[in-house]
Amino acid sequence: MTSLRVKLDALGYPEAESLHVDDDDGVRQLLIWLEATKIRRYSVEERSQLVDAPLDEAWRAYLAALDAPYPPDAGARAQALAWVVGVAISLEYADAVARGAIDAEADPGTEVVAMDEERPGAAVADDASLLADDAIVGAIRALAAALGMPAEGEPLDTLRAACHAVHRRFGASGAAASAAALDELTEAEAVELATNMEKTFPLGFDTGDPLVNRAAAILKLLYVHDLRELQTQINELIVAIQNVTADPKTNSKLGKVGR
Amino acid sequence: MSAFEKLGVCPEIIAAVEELGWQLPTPVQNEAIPLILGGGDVLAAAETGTGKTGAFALPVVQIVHETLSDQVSLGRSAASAPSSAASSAASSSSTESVVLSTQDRDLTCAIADNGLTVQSRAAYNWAGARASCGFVDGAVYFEAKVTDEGLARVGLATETATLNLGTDAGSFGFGGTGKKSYKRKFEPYGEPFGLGDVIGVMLDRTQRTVGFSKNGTLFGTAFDIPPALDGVAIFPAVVLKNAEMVFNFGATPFVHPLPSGYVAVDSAPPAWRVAGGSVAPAEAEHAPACLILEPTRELAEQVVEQINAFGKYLPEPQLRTLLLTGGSNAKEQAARLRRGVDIVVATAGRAKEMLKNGALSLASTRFFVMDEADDLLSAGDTAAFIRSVYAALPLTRLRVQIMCFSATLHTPVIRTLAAELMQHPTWVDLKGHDLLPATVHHAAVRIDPRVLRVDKSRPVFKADRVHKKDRVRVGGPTDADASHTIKLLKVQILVDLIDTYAMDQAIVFCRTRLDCDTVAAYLNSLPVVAGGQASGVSKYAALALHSGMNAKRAANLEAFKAGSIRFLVCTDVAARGIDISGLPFVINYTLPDEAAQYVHRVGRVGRADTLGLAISLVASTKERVWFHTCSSRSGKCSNTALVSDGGCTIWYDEPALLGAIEDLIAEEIQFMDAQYRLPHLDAAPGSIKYGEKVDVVEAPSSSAKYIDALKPTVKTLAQLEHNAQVSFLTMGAEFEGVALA
Amino acid sequence: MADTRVMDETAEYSLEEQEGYIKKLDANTYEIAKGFVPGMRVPGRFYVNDELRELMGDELRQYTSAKGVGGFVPALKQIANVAQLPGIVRYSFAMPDVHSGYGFPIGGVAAFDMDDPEAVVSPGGVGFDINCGVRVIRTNLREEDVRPIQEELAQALFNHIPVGVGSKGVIPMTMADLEEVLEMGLDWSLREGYAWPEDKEHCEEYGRLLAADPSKVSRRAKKRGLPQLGTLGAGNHYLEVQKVEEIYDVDGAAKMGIDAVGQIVVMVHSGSRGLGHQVATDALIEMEQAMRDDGIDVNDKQLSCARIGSQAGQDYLAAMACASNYAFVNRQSMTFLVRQAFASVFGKSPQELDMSLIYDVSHNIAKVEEHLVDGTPKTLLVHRKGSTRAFPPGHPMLPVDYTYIGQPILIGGSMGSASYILLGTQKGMDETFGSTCHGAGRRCSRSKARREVKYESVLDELAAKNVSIRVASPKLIAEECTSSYKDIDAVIETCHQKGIGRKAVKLTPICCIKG
Repeated sequence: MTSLRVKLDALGYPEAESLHVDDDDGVRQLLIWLEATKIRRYSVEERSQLVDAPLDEAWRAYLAALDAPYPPDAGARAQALAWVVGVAISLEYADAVARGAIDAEADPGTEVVAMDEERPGAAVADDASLLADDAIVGAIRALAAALGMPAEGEPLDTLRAACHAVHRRFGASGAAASAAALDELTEAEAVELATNMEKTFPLGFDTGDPLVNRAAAILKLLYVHDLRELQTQINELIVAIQNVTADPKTNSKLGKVGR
Repeated sequence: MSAFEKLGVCPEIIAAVEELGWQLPTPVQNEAIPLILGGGDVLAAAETGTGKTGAFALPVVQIVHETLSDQVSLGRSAASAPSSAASSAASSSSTESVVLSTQDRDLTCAIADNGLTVQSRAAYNWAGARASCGFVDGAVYFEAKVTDEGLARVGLATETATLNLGTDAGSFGFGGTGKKSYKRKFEPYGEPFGLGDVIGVMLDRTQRTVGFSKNGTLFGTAFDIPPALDGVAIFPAVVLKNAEMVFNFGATPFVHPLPSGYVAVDSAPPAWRVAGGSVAPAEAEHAPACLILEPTRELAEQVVEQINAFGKYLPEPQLRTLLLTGGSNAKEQAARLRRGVDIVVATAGRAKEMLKNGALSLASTRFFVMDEADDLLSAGDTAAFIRSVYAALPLTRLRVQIMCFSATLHTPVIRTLAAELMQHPTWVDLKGHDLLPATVHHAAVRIDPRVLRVDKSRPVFKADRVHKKDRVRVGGPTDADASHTIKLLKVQILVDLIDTYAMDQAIVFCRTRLDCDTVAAYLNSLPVVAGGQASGVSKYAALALHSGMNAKRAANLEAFKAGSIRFLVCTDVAARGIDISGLPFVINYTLPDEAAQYVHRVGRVGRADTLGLAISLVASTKERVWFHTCSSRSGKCSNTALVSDGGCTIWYDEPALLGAIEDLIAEEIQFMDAQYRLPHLDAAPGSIKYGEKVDVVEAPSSSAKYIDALKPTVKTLAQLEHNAQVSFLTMGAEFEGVALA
Repeated sequence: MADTRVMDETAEYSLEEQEGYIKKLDANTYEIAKGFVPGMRVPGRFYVNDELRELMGDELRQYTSAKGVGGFVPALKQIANVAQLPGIVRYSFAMPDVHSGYGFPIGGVAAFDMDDPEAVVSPGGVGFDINCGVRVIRTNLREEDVRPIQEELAQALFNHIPVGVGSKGVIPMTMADLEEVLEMGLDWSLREGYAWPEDKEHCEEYGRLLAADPSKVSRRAKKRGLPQLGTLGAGNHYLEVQKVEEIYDVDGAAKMGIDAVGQIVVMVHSGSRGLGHQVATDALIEMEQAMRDDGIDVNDKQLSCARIGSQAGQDYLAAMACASNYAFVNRQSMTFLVRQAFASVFGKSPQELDMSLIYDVSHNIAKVEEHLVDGTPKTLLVHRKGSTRAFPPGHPMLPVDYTYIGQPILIGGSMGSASYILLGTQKGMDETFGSTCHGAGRRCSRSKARREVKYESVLDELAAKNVSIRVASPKLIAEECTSSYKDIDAVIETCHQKGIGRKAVKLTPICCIKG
């Protein structure tokens, strides 16, 4: 949520501080404000829908309108919201560059991507990049999202970040690529690493369809990650209990030790 | 593969054990056998019926047999042709210089590589050594120089004599304190000597004399060698305590002139020499490898039986076992010992005799087992005897394993014994601190002379006549009155208990033989009411059992087991070794003055998961009883004055004794009510079937409650695990197109 | 031919005739055809290399010439006898370290169909030392850290951990505590603070068999077990400080926390002491009656068993679970003491030394598991005596951290020899119900070893390998010398070749503490 707040601050949203993802009214206000001031996808009539319709409906329609890769369920609300805010930021940024407020040349790390008016959500244009494959992109986004990272932005960056996160969680301490090396990866290498991860994190059986295999492997990876989280939480709970019950004693007079 | 194999038992013994029907080792065997095979000392708590005989006998038989067969094979190769052995030994030593033997010495006595310097740094013990060659003829001389401060005794000894020079009949010593020593007699001789002095030793077999010199000064004959030692080789010997000496047998020139008529040891002709080792040290023929002490002859017999059974399939050489107890011909036993015995199973009395007269030697004993140690030690002088046995063990020369089995380990007397005798013993305590199993119920009956009435309609009880000279009145106010009343009440209550609990078998413990006699007589004098198990047997048929009376004792015990005697009235001493399976009742007519004894008495019930009841008659006030300090120790004495006044009676404080017993067994002994019910068990007499096996009833544990509460959760968890596994198995199969049946 | 003709127990057969029943299927796989002993319901199957096969042949030869005297039944016969038990599924297995045991061979696996009302459970198939097992604790120390002070370390461990036959524990316990231990297993250690939560995570069965019921354990067994909790025991039990000698599977090792050659780990090999023994003994005796009641016939009375569903069978499983829990707590207690010892020697807390548990396996146990039999999932009671579970990657019963690499299989060698860590494979799951070997296996009886081997030479041998050793009963270590055991490298290689467990790490001892 903090990164969201930062972004909202950057956008100048007045209620940034008090925004809570579960607060339906707050979310609605945000959407209305974003749409009205930044995104401006809707026509005026459609905007009123945001105000009047039940939030779920409005939310669903809006995401569809923006071509969002997220289903509008409550669980994904935070991510979906972050995505929408991300879209707003890209638009704002593009505007700022266009206005001359930001010198795109001086800051080469950030590429201004041409916004597709039809599909404002498609951050990646149809270029000949290896990352054009929708399935891969979708998988990467899903991976990042599950890892608690913002899923929007460059797939390559996302991929790099995901590699970091995964290696932090699952990787060997010395054997695999170090964190620094990960940043140096080229696109090709990054994709290869992602594919190889399937070897290191195999599915265990063959569904017959390589894409489904890959997806399933990633799903499995995420599931295992979840389990690990759960297990860690359980461990923490046990430690809390131990603080109350534990009293480990030994008394060397009882037994015979040493000679 | 037998379960005994894991313990390290050899196949031949396993075969014998399987024949006995032993499939699985008992707990005490599981723990003790590897320990003993591993060379350790063991202190085990185990009662009769737990297989403890096997626990010590199996490994002992195995190791003794191993040692025996090793020696035989060594002996065979060494003595391939007896006559040539001597000559070959002689010829081999004819030109060899004599040195101190690295075999024939105490372990703490160190001998340098050249065999001439000997040193012992043990500060508290004497450590000795002998030379490799002894002499049967001629006259030889050698020198020994004291090279380090400390105590030393130098001289000569036979090969089978003790290494502690001068303390037996086979060794002659001359010590630095200026004393000669033989057979433990130390007498002034010559002069004291110390660092730097050179002692000359002269052995003259033809004149049968031993003499010494110091720095060239001859001191004359110290000893006359008894004719009994003619033909027995005598070896140069030394014993040291934190000292060092260097010997010279003639390899280098002597410091002092050779006395006339003597030759240097190294120059002695072959005819005079006998090499050491022809009699392996400590293979004196009456020295068994193992001594097992049992409290009674019966138990000793059982042990011998078992040992013979274990050794059944062992190959040659056969183990020779000897039962050494009273009631058998001592001369025969001595003769057997002389012929050679490997394992001796003995009772303390006879063993003591045989040790004293030399028929039994412990010079090569490697195993010393005290079985039923608590019973053994209950006879006062046995503890001293055990210490003397310990002193006679060849502890410096061999690793002697000491094992102690006792029903109760946690008594001070056992602990002190263990600390004194045993080396880091491993405690095998399978019984835990529960001295008595839960199948024994304890109860007491309050004998309060101020409250209870003596029933005058019953037959009169002739008590112990402690109050004969007093004017006492039953139910009266004085202490003497009370004491007298107690005596009359006790026997009355005894009969009441027998009736109420319909006892048809019980052991009644009394303090003295007189009490046993009077109580048994009383029971037998009661009007005969036929009934019970064997018709024609009086309901109160009783017998006073004393120690001794060997022949009749066995018959009496049989009668008791059969039921023709219902009540065995005995003292602690008389009851030793008695084990009646399924005994329902034990009655303490008088509490024992030692709490541990309560455990022994009461431990006779409740065995092998059979319920038993132990009832104690506890007087509420003091009772005056006999305590003979005089020599008569029996009914002849009538000195009713208190011991503190030079007499033979004391005041016996049972309430105090009860407290001590409760402390020991960590349990409060509840009193029966007026109807002899057991309030703490909420049981009326007869409701609990004593003497019968009970399904081991576990008291529900405190955790049982939440275990029950968790059961549904545990079940769900198990179901989830099942589901997860099935899912895993089928998932892969599904995709691989494997048809699931 | 061999399948139909049955060798009669009473007749005498030549060695050739007997060998005729044993078929070689491939380099390491052999089958014992039905008929080798009367009543075999399934064939026997064992995995050995040529050398190990020789040893088994020797046993058979001795047995044939001795004509059965001496009560020794060769492992080959025992494998076949087990195949006669009702309810057995697929094969009576034996691993490369197989040798003769009580009724069942040691190194054997026998699975029984729990849906079959005739199927039996047998204490001999679990062994007397219920849940004898191994655990390995990692550290972040290296060989250079330990070598200079290896004697001191050995002494410190010896001072902290009670060892030897009859040894008593130093962790205060009452009978009530014991009851809880029997019921709760490792959860008790957790509650009391002797375990880290991660320890439970990385333990077979999470350190607790759910079927435990302390009321099914006799008072005598509890009495034996009470003072012994937290002790190492004797026999082949030991505690070793080991170094990583070789890493065969870098990724797998890394996931287990082993990342370098020379890294120091601690291996604990121990079981349920007197309590397990008593539980087994009590059950064997009780089942003799159960066999009569249910009309069960066995070839060897040491194969005493009862129908799984019978009272005797259920009682045994409940008691066995208790004994298993006891053993888990025992190993955990020793882990606690080991951590303390290391902390005192190195002056750092166990957390700082990163002394986490890699895994804890059992090699004497009976488990209820799901396996595919002819394509259907079936619930089986798998007896493993001297054999370790070896589940494949992905199996739900594995800790999360190992789900991708498979189950770590900890194989302790004999004193002075190497030890190994293997990883479970799908092949093992398919072929042997997820089982593999457990160690080296004896080749020579204890009494023989004690007679023929001098313990001084054993100690010398270890000193030559620069192993610091502390022993409670020196005379008994003659029984544990390497020559009494089969060659562990050969055993492991056979498992690896066969695919039932793949090599991950090889370990060699630096300090050895023995009972």
